This record gives sequence, structure tokens and C-alpha cells, in this order.
Amino acid sequence: MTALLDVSGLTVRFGSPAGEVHAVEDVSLSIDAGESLGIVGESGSGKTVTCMSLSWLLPSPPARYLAGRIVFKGQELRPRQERALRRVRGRGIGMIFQNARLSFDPAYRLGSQIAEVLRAHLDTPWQALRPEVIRTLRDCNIADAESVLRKYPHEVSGGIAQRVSIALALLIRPDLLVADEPTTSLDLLSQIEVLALLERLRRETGLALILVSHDLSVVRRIADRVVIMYAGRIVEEGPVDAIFMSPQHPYTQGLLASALQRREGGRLYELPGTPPDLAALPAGCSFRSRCPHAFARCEAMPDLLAAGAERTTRCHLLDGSASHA
Amino acid sequence: MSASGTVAVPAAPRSAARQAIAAFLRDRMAVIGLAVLVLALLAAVLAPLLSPYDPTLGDDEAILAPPFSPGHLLGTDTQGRDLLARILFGARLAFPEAIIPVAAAAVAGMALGLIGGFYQRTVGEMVMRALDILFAIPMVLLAIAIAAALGSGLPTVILSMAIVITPYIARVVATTTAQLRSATFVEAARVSGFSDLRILRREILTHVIPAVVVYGTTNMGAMVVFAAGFGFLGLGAQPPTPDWGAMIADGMHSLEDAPWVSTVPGIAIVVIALAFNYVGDGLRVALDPRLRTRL
Repeated sequence: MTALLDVSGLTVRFGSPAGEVHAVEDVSLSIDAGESLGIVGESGSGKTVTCMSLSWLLPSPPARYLAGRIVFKGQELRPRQERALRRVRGRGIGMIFQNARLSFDPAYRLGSQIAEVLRAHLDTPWQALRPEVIRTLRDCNIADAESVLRKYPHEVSGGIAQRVSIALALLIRPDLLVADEPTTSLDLLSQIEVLALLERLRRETGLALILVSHDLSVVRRIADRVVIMYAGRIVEEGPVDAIFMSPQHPYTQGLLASALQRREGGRLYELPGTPPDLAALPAGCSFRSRCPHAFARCEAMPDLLAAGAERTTRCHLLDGSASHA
Repeated sequence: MSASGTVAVPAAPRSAARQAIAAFLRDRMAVIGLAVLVLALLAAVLAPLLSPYDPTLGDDEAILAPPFSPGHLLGTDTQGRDLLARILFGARLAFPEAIIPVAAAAVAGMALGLIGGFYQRTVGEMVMRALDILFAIPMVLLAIAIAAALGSGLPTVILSMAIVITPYIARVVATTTAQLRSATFVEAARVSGFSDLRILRREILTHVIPAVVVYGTTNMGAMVVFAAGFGFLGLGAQPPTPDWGAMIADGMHSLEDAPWVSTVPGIAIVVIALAFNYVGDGLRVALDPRLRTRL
């Protein structure tokens, strides 16, 4: 079976006064229909740039797409082929954002914006779709759907806005939904509800989901597979349980340690140092300066190596010839 | 919110238009300005009915009659023409001179500004640099040069003013557009597969139009003054048509003996220009929800 979406060798850089920012370097990932993939990394690790690039959304300039092949449903998506890309955006690959309220135009009522999106994608008149819109909103735990449709974006809470944007994405029925930090700007209760909603909808509709988050617990709950990014590169990839049980890359280990120890009430584990400046990446492994296991070979960038069943890791420690761990 | 112990019932959302009108009505100067403009416009339209005299025919018996003379409320000019009649008929020129150039420039400026702000690659860059060239030429000189090239007269004045203010409106539009282009909701529209045209029309234009309305209205005040300058220099409507600027020039030589000949049209210009400015200010507050103070 071919993958629903296959990205290979994606490299995106940005021109900036400080030098060229290496936002995403040689990222390859794929997702099958109905699968759920988590992308984890700290701010600036390239998660969002990767997601935006799936349908070549970043304006260029400032973005420079240096390399990368994206195949969606067996068809290659090429940058700047706007007409073809527009057909994929929304209907093929839907997207929801971190701050859902900002993703609605403040000048229109929510109902009018839902109608506009439906009009752009479906031939059925909006009035005929109204019952389905209401049903979908209710499905997304919006009790007073009728009145929400009449409201302006600033008149609803962030949680409601996020649920409306999920409902909207679902009305279009995309094959793949990309959720970029969908719960980050929400309070804890709304977070739990939105996650439960995403989980349920995925089960019921069978859509594939890419969930971007820096919150490990969120990813662990929803994703089948997880990709860990650091400084624009994938450093580790594999089934979510395997990675959480036995992280192989020192960065993943640090990330998990800082999350786990907090839960156990012990001393807060802190990953020493800060991520490197993407405009002036040092040679070799990007994590080298913060890595407790760094050794001579780390001055060369390690490849992504197979490391166990369906797992890959970008670390010299896993290269058979050097058993340091 | 009512604080009187009743259960807070969420009020039905007031429409944006009604909120804007309410905000405008709270601005006293804007309301006065609007009233002045409406009255002046009515007077201009009804000038043939209201005017006691023909504005182009002088009365040899009453040359340079001071204001409040019997039969001549605002006095007469060097040729004995009634100033009230000339002011009323002059308003029929002042309004088109204020409104038409701005309206034309708004259309042209929005088209250029949307392109310049939205397409930041080659095409937009070309538009913006072309506008920069126009900015580099002093506005008044450019207008006079255009008018001189095309010959004097009302259509020339209107055309040259429209050309001169187009870059200013275009820049306002381009700035707003460039800001909106990276707004999340515009990104969301692109993610949903909207075409550029659809995004420009629905997401960008909606937010650009209020800015243009406000900027344009304030500019109409400037246009009244500007057109008077043309008239003063003799580039506008030709005598004996009563043009406010030309009327000031007309009274210039008798300024010591009969200051009212220049002063009366001067006051008319100031009042109308101020009225446009206050209305523009009121619209700015009314159309920008952030500036509205909730009561």
C-alpha cells in the first residue's frame, strides 16, 4: 500500500539579515490513510514550517524551497502550481491552527465564514447544507450551534473557536488533517475536550492526522507514530509506544526525562543549553553541544539510521561500530 | 452587562453596522461636520432656487457693498455681484472638486495598493516603485504641471487632483494589505484552498475599505483647499463661473478697502474643509472597533 502523503528530502530555508536560516533540513516522512502521526519538537525546530510546506503554503520569498518531493495520493505536488495546489488545500489536506480565533476573519460572523468555505469547495447551496453544518457543530460538542453561527469570532471562547475550526475542516472531509498545536492556546479543560474530539473524529471518520505539538502527553495520547525534530532535522522516528518506552536519541531522552520527572515530583530535569541558531548552524550534529554523550564522531552530521523495528534515529551512538551507550 | 441582580442574558450580537453608527453619533464634532456638509450640499443643489441673484451678473449700483447691506447679506464684489449667490453657486463646484478626485483615486489606489501589497514579488514591487517615483515629485507641482499640460478647466482640475492623490491612497491600501497578508485568518483562507482573487475580495478588501473611506474623507477636505488653490491661480473653472478660489483672487486687489470679497469665500473653504476633516475623524473612530470606547 502506498502512503497517503509522502515527503522526501524537504529542505526549506529563509533569507534573513543574520544569514540564511536553515528552518527545515532534509525532512522525510510519510503517513498512511487513517494513520496518526505526531511531530514533536521545541519552538523553532521546524515543525510548523514542515506542515505549511506540505501544500507549499509558505510565500517565497522569504522562504526558499531548496529540495523536497511531496507526493499526495500518488500525485506529486509542485510549488507554484497554484491551481492544482488549491484543489488539494482544504479538500485534500485540511489544517487547523494554534489560535483558532485568529484563523477567522474578524469582520464576518462564523456562519458566514463556514458558508464561504463550503461554497468554495462544494456545489451544493449553503442553505441545503445548513442542517449538516449544525449537526457537525453539535458533533464537535457545540451545544448552541445555531447561536454560534450568528456570532463574530471575538464573541466566542478559544475552545469554541477551535471546535468550530475542527468542524469546518470536517465538513470538507479532508483525507488528512494537519493540526498545528491545536490545544496550546487553550485552557486545560478545553484541551482535554478538543483532544477527545480529535481522537473520536479520527476513529469515526478514518481521516489521517498529523498532530504537531511540543506537549509529549498530547502526542502520546493521540499519535500512532511520532517524529522528533530538533533544529530543523528529524532526530528520531518510530511507533509512539516504542519511543516513549525506550528513547534512543539523547535529545529524545532528555525531552522525556524533563517531562517524566516533573510528574514524579522529583527535581525538574533540565536539558542543558539552548538550541543552536538556525542561521549559523555548527558543523556536525546539531545537538552535539548539549549532548551528554558527545564524542569525536559527532563533528560529522550523523545519518538517520535504522534502529529496531520501524524506528530510525539520527545518532552516531547507534552506529554499531561505536558502542558508547 | 446589567448589574442589577438579574440573570445576565447574553444580548443578541449587535450588527457591526449599528455599532459603527452609534459610535459615529457619539462624536459631536463629526455630527456637526456631517450636518454642515449636508446643509451645504443641499444649498448647492438648490442654489438656483435659494439664490437671490444671478451669480455672474453684477449690479453697477452696488459695487463693493459691505456685508449686511440691504439686499446683499454677504456684500458684493468688485463688479457688484452678490457674494451670497456666488458662494452658493460656488458650492456646486466645490463638492464635485472634493468628491470626484477622491472617489476616482480610491478606485485606482485600491487596485494598485492591493496588487502592490499582496504580490510582493516582481509585479507588486514594480507597482510600489512606480508609486515612489510619483511621491518624489512635489504634489502641487505635479498637479499644476498636469493642469498646464491639459489646459485649464474643471475636468482638468479634477483629473490632476485624482492623479496626485492616487499614490497616497495606494500606499495606505498596500500597507494594510501587506499586514493582512500574514494574518492568521488569511493564512487559514489559503489553507482552505481559496484563490487569491477570493482572498483579496473577501478577506482583504473588507478590511481595506474602511481605511480608504476614512483616509478619503479626510482627503476631501484637503481637496477643497487644493481646488481653491487651482482657482486662485486661474487654472480652475474660468470666469465668470463662481469658483471659491478664483473669488479670493478676485478680492485680492481690494483687500484693504473691501476685505470681505476675499474673506467670505475663504471662510466657506475653511468651514467645508473642516467639516470633511471632522467627518473623517468620526468615521475613523466609528470604523475601527479598537478606537471605540464602550459606554
